Amino acid sequence: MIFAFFNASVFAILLQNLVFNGGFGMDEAIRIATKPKEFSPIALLVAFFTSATAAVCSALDSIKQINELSTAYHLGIYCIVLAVIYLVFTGVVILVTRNKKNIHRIGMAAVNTLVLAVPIINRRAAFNLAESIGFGLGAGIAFIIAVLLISTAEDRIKANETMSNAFKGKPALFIYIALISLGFAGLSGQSLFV
Amino acid sequence: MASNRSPGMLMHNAGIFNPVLVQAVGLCPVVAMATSLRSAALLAAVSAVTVTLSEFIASLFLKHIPRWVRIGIYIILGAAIVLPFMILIERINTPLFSSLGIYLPIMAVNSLIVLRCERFAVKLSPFKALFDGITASVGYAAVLIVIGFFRELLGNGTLAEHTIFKSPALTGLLLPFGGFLILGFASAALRTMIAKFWPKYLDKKQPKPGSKKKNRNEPAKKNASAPAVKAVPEFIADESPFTLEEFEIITNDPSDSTATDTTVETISEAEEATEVSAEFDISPEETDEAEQLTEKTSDEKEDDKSKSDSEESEESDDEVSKPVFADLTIDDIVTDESTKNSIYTDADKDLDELMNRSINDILTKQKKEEAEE
Repeated sequence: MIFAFFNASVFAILLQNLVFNGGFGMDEAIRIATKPKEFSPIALLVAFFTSATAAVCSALDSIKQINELSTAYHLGIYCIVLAVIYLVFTGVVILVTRNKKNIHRIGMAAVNTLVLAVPIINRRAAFNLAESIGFGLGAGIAFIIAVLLISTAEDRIKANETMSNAFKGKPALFIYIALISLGFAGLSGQSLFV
Repeated sequence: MASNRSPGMLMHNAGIFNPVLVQAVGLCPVVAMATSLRSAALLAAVSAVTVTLSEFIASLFLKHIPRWVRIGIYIILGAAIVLPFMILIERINTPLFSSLGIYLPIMAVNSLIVLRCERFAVKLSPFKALFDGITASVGYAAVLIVIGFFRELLGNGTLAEHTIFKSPALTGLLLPFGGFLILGFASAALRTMIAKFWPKYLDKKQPKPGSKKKNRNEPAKKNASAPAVKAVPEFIADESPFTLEEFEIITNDPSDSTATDTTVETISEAEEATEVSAEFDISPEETDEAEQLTEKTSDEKEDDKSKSDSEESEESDDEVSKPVFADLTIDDIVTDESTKNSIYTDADKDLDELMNRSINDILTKQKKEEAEE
């Protein structure tokens, strides 16, 4: 069971890095990379939401009546699960801290294509509970790696004064992400130019 | 060739502040699934309906709900809109539905929906929100279709599933790597276009509805007791034959609109300089302290404060965050009359010295020229 957990985690981090190989959660990764102060809490929140949603959705999928439903209905169920986890977690945070200042960070972490993609992939790959949680956690770690890599690039792009004006900012960042994505695609063993 | 005309709403939302190419929002379906013209068109249609409907509904019903609850509702709303599409596409074209994989379902939590709804829809009337949704969707759909077009053509050698060429295709472009690469070049092309036709919008953040934007053409509010800040006019530096007295007569003459404009411009420039200096003088720690101070308000205002804080932080998604004091003028910062007067007196002294020095230089130069002649 532990082996399955770690296997799924490593699969999500390296072989099938959801952020670079699938583009999931890339907008949030780019946005967070520009805010060093918000980096750690949001990245950890994303890891929490991917793991929690994966765990609850996997547990629900083990119910026969739910498992037999079509993909469209599963989407509805997963979205409801995500919304409930988000609302409960945010409600608890507000109750405990009595401060709504940083609540938007939780929303940014929860409403994320990466968080919803994890339970859908788990279902398609027929992962068990341990694998689902491992995959969710791995996806969260993959997100953290992505933010770190993009943050480094962002700083260097800003510092580069010799760059053509047309490529300054987002264009250079997209091309940088393309190259990192190419590297991760190589790890997954895909042939590129046949 | 910069255009003096301000762009229309469509060009503003779909072009200059394009959600994908400029704001990097909703990237996932673009880089992963827009690999053919057909799938790109389908995703474009679904996203257009989802964003437009979400904005309309958010504007109609969600304005008075707390923000953190609204975000949860957007997830359900997105699913409620995408779900019928999924059922419909699965029944009509099962192979296409299968080819879209998990990318069609995840359109429900596309960050484009939440961002447009939170930034615009809940602050606009339903009709305006609908229009905003349509224009943003047009920009998003255009990018999807352009990326899908190039990836299918270069990656498969086909276009709408018709073979165009049979030479070895660049299949790597069908991977997200190819999506990001084409996105980078498309973004550079748009950036070049903006720099050419609307240079004032380059690297600017999209203004939110209701946000107060300072009009630099308007003269700044000045305290009645404080004299206007004078600056060295350009014609002194250009060795104009005007003396200091003549210059003062010109600038103080209310009937001379040119002179008034010049004075207003110099005041605006001085204010701008103050803002720039404020940006550099305030360290990030001081900014944080200032933010914390602003948070120490009554419980009733806390919600609104947190809203504005979060909006500010969202606004600074793409750019460097703006210091708190950046919008303040001299009058806002210095409230003490004696300090203010001393500042203005010092400024006047410096200015007089500078102008006298310039005039002396000019006179000396003229004398030299005369002597040479």
